[in-house]
Amino acid sequence: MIGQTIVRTKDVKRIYTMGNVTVEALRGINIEIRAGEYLSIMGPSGSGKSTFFNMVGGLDKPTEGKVYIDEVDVAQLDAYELAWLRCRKVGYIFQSFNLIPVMTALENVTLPMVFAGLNNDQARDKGMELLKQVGLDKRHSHKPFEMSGGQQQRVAIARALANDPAIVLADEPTGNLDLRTGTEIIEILQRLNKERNVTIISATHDMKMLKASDRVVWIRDGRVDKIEKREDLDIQIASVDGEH
Amino acid sequence: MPTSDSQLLEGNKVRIGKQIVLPFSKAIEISLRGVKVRFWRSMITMSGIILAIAFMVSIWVSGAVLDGLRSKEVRDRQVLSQVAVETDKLVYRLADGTERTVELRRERAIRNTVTFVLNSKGYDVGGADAAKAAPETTKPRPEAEPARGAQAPAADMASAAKAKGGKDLWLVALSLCVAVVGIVNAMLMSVTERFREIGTMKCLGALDSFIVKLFLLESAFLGGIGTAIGVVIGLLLTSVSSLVSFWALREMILPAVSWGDVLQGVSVAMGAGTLLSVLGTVYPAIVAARMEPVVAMRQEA
Repeated sequence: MIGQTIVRTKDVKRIYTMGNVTVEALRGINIEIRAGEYLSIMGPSGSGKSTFFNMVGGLDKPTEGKVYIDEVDVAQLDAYELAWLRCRKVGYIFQSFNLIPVMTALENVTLPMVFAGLNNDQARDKGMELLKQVGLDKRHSHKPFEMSGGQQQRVAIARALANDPAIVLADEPTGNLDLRTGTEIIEILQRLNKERNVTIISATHDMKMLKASDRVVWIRDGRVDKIEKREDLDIQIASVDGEH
Repeated sequence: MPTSDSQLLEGNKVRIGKQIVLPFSKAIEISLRGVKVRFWRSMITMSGIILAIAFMVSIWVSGAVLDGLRSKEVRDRQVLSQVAVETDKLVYRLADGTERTVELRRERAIRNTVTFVLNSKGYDVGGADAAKAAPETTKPRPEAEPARGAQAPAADMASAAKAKGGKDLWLVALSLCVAVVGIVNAMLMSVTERFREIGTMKCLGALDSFIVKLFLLESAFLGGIGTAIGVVIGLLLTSVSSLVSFWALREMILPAVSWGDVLQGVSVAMGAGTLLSVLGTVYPAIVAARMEPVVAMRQEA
């Protein structure tokens, strides 16, 4: 179910200055992402894909142009508001899982809830519920290094959903996983997208991701190369696979 | 659009600051866990402060031992001036009115030993004075006589003691400074090592102040533990060195030492060690807190 616009960018440019060299990573991107959408961002490395992805997630601010998340201009937010946005509005999933190594699965999942001010009991119940949804409620007391990559990534998904965010940002979520676990993770993301109506934005090289996506945005040289809907995708995949 | 944006923004702004929290108990829990996991490595980080505190404590406590012995010597002398001598016994009349009888010969021998040992270690207690004050004593053994006369001015002694104390203080301060620099260095390394963890925390909504809080708490715990270890090492070292230096007086050391003095030294050391390790972490903690959340996304390392 796809609702109103949740992320909107307007002529977003991002220029990095390194000494005398300026690199134009993004050269004006306009895009609208709607609530409940499963969107993949594709592009070769160096295309500005990561920069754009960070921009959409409120991790970076544009040099020029505007990024609106839930109709709020990210550039205008102060440190507190940005933290609030990251805590409540956006959930992050990383390629290398990034669980806090000294904490158990459950503690990792409940950490954002603690930040959001939930008390211990509420957080534990909700954390267990989320772990159950990713099929790991039995392993709640395990530390990250006691779990496989796929399990860690599932904990990370549960953590991303801790405060019922409107958007989940997944940065190459299957990048460090083998084919089968990668597929599992995609299935979980897809299910959550359907069941909880959470917007999923992922940057990826993974062709398996494409099948799950509602739309795919191709970035090349800091511009939107093309935007494809799922309907158009099936035909494309064969040729893309070959290129890959 | 701008109007609706700014309205939303205004609406959010009122509450946002208070909506992100890290309860103190939770912060303690998290930082204690960090201490536990990295304990042995952190103790290596803290070894500088452990050694500096051990040094500080040993300087302080051996000072207290000497003071104790010296004041025991002075006290005995005062008491002795009031003794009545009956045949070969000395009767001490103590401050509370009770009397204590000891064998004259044994007491004299002990007192001469104290004077002799302290003098031979370069701590002037005025052996000649003691000799004079003691009634019916034979002359103290010649070694016990200070080279300068019996009238060694008290001011001279005090200033000599002060000069020595000043030098010790300088050494202690210097070693603590070195330890703090070591902590700053090690903590900066630790920050770069944990960049992903810090970035992740910030992605999850942690404020800069949370990161600072966690780092400072962790270093306070580490500093406390390190300092405690340092205190124990310092006390052990001092016990050994006092026993070696004052072997002749070994039975007198414990009763002579002023425990209040030792306790004061230990608490000053505990306070200083913990405080310095926290101070040494302030800058690294700020560096950590300023880290951009994007670093959590990076793949290297």
